[in-house]
Amino acid sequence: MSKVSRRKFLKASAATVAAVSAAKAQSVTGPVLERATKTSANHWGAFYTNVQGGRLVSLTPYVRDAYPTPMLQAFPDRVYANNRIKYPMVREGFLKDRGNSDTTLRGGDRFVRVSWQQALDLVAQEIQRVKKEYGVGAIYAGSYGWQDVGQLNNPVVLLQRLMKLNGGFVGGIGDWSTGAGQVIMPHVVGTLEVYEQQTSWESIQENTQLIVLWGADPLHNNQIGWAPPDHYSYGAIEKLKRSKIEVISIDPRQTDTARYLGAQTIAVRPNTDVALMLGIAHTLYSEKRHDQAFLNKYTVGFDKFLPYLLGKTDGVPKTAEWAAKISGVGADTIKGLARKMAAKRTMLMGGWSIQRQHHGEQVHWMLVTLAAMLGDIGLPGGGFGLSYHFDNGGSATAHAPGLPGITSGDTSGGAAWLAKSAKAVPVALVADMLLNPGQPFDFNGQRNTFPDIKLVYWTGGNPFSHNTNRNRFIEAWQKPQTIIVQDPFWTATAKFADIVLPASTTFERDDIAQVGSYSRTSIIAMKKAIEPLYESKSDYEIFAALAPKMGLGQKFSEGKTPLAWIRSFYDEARKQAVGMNLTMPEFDTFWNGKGVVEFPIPAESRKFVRYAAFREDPIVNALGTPSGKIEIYSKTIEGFKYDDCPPHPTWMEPAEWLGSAKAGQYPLHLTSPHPKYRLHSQLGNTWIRGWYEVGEREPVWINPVDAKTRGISNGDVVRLFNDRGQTLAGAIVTDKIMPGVVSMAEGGWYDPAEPGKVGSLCKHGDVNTLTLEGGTSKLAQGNIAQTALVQVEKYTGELPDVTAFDPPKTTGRG
Amino acid sequence: MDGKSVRLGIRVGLGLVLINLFVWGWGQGRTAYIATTTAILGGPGGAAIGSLTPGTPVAVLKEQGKFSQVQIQAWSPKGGNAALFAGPGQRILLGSLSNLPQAQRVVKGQAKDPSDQVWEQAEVVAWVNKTALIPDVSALWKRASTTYQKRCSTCHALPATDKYTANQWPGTLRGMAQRAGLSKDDTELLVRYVQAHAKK
Repeated sequence: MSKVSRRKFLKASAATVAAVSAAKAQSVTGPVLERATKTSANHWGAFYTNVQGGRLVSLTPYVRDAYPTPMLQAFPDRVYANNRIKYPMVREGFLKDRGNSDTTLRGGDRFVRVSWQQALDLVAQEIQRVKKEYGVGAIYAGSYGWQDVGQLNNPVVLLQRLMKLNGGFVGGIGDWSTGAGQVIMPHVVGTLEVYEQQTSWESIQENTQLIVLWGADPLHNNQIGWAPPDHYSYGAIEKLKRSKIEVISIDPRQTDTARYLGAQTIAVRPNTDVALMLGIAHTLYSEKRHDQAFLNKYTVGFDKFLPYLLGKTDGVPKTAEWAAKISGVGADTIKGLARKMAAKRTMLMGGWSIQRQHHGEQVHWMLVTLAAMLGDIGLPGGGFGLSYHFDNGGSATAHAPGLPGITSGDTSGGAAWLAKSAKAVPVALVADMLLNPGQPFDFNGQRNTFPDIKLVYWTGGNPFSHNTNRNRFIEAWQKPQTIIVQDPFWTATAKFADIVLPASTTFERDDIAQVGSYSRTSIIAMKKAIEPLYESKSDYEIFAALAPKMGLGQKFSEGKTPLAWIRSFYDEARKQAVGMNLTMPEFDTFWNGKGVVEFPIPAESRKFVRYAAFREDPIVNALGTPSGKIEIYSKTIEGFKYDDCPPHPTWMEPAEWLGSAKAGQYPLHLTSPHPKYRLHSQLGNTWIRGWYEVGEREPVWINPVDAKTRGISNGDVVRLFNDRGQTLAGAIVTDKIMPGVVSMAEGGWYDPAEPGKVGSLCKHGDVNTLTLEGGTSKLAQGNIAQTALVQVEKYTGELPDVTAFDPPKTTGRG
Repeated sequence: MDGKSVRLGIRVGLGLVLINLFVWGWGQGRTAYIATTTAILGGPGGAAIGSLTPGTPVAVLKEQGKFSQVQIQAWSPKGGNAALFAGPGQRILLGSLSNLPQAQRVVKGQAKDPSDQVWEQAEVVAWVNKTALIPDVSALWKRASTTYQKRCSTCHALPATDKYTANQWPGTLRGMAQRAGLSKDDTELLVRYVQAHAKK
């Protein structure tokens, strides 16, 4: 028996044992003839759960979802995954030494099973100890993540509700999706922009002549949504394929959307988008194809931007030729793009990956500037949009009430600690915060100092997936005295915790949701399909049980059962509906009947044009900027005097890119787009990873040219590395990625060869072992995951087994 | 003129009008606040000439039956006389005039905002239903604060009201209002609430 096959055999045996014990734990399931079908929903859509003999066997997409994602079918496997957290667990060293434990053992230590009683006592004692010794300003409860949908069991909101009742906590600012965009856009267009309704797809179909997808892949990313998606944009994109509208995709790789639409792909060097846009802008201006009347009436500061564009301020005219050298896109192509955009009604659909790079603020700012020069903003089907790839932006909004949910409630008083240090820290600076307490940081015109965090409580999120520069994050993670993680699965984050609480999955609890972040098409009952597995509890039940132990009595739950909360949310929506001339059945009829209430879509929703009112009357419908207009030059930002965020869109070399000196050592630019068959890291622990993995590793795309020089063949296991870390991956040799660039989806589960050790090889393919820590600039401090250079080599060592999806070592049963 | 206005004219008399003009001229009078989006009238019980938003401070000049005559201090961007904002470049919308010709709008001066746009300072005198006025704005903000915390922390952490400037808030909040299930009235109240507590 060879070594490899022996390992595989052992692994298979372990799986058998796990299967047997899982079967044992579920021996209470009923006869297979007992069937039930109920409604529910998650980030992948609305559906019916099919239960047979007490076991979730399949999901049927909701009847109105014409384009359900295939990922839905992996959920039964996820529920019964081998790496469910079955019982409350405590890290061995922590159980012994509590707040004085050796924190460098996190991630490598064994776990000990404890009772719920012990676990909750321990959690309550630790929170109260830290509060007493250091104050609530030493408790981090930002707990960033995608958790699950449901207006009651939102674990982050529940956690913050508890911590507010306890006197306060340090939270997070912004998010990992649009860290830069959501801060720069309020300065430029006076609103958040990135999470707002887009010009409707109907308006595009009727009016648009050219769509430019700039780092956006709607087909890929609209599978999932913050609220359960209705997948509206798939029908729209299907119609787009049949239309005469030209689509161009500007991207280092050929996206699914480009491939489906047969769109031209213009391959741009990563992180050079601003230069390319400037080249287009220069062409527009020098050929007098820009809309000066629009700039005069609806924008301010073009006159201050123009000298820069023409090179009068820095001696560098931003010509197409100049942009070509930086971006790798030919000067003629750039000029052709400019002429085409000027001639046609153009919609620039910007993605978010382009702002997850060093100086990412500039990219969205320059995109808006370009759209302003084209002058189509506010016209049907024209302008720009930053949410067509997210939450099915551009879907028509229904005439529907809003569905309230549980809230974090009031902050009790302005505690003294708030004055001393930040009560919230940009999410991309969590590692900096843990490593540098008391140090100052800048954010959007303000300067604050990092708090000294002693206790971290994370639930419904996986920082060991989303945080960049994994090894630095591990060092940071060793700083707090106590780390509590609540999750259904043994994610890398759970494995690196001290106290682990088993949460149930969506299918094991009642909840309620509204379908469609933008479309709001229906309210759906999320009905418990099966009993909670093992000893897991719903997030609500966990916090409701914890609160009394913290001396908060019934303040957290207000004495209400989960169903009482759900009823109250529904009733409040129903109250609104009355005033909106809508009919909603009584809660009991809804809950015990169809489980869905649908809302009508008014005709005007289908014709919605973003910025139409502003275009119609820019004085009455002024934007929220200081000038009321689109700010191509921002006096506010000028006042901040940031060296890394000038007051108008500017090309600045990122810390790492193909043009930097470092490319000599690490010659490949690494991009980390969203995965196609996961939501970040979610679903990695199901059979669906068999659809994309190569040699059991996360795949990495590499161009045939780059593969050949490295002796890499399609299907090889390779090692990616740079100064920050190293990971294995499975090579996909494809010309769908441009030469000089490799692409590996974020969310591949971290799997250290030496658990807990800084610098360990990741056996499975966590791209964040290689990425650079934040932030985009002092303005937004967004993450810069797309700014990274690496080297790739064929891996010739003995292939280690992937253990990312196994539970950690334990001291006994559990 | 309707019957009420006629009766008012008879009862008030010239002297009282003069006193009130004096008070108005000095910008004095009891301060009150608009409780909810309210129509403003050309005369007591007259036709609507515009509206005021919740939280807007007014000087009460006189009262007549169910109506109060109020004076609003506002700023309008040049070319946008219908919009009543809190200050030059400060887009806290106090109200708007739908019927400019009939509104008693007196221009008191001009100023430039930091973006070099010209604004007019305007005093508007109009009538509102007495029930639209509250003596103290803090109760209104308290109610708004409760709604804000209740509705705006279910999908994301509750944003501090000083996360955005007064100008940035309206678009930002209205962009989210549908998802938060806010009625039109609640939305306008919350806009004014967060603006009142915005980043300076």
